[in-house]
Amino acid sequence: MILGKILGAVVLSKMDEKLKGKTLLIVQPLNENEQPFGKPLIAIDMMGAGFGETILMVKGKEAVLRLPEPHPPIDYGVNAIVDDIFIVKEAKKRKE
Amino acid sequence: MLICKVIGNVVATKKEPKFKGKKILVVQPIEVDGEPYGNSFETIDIVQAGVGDIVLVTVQGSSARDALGDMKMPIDSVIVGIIDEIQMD
Repeated sequence: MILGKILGAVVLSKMDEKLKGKTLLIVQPLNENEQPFGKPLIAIDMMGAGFGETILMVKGKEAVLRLPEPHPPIDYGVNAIVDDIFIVKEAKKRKE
Repeated sequence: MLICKVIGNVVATKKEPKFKGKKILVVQPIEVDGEPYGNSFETIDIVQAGVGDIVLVTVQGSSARDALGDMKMPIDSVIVGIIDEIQMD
């Protein structure tokens, strides 16, 4: 999974049948210090996440496995809304 | 699978119901000599790993779900072991 920040959402006019009624969020990937890295991507919302919230999202088919069949064609899914992140600085020192 | 160092954890009360009772840890991929590389990511712990541990992480979704014994689990990686020693010639 990776951390992300919800930037917004996309609304589709023409779409794959299985995407109907799904909320598609624009998410900016974040590193462990909540700094953005890489480009924003689109993930299906499964947690009712709101704009600006920090979330966790899973990549790949696993994103939609828990949804009822037929699974929508989606490769990123929000599966947690983050309350806190605890990072231990010295745990990252270069040499043991 | 990747060798990673556990550098923190994430608390999320509102989460995937199947994650209840499981820790979400932040791991940083490292080289065999301990040198960090690439981006850190978050994963589920099933071996009671703690911050600072060197761990083995399965990063393929299907194997991760297998390790958790639930083929519908929305997870793409799992900590499957704590590394005590790395032997290199």
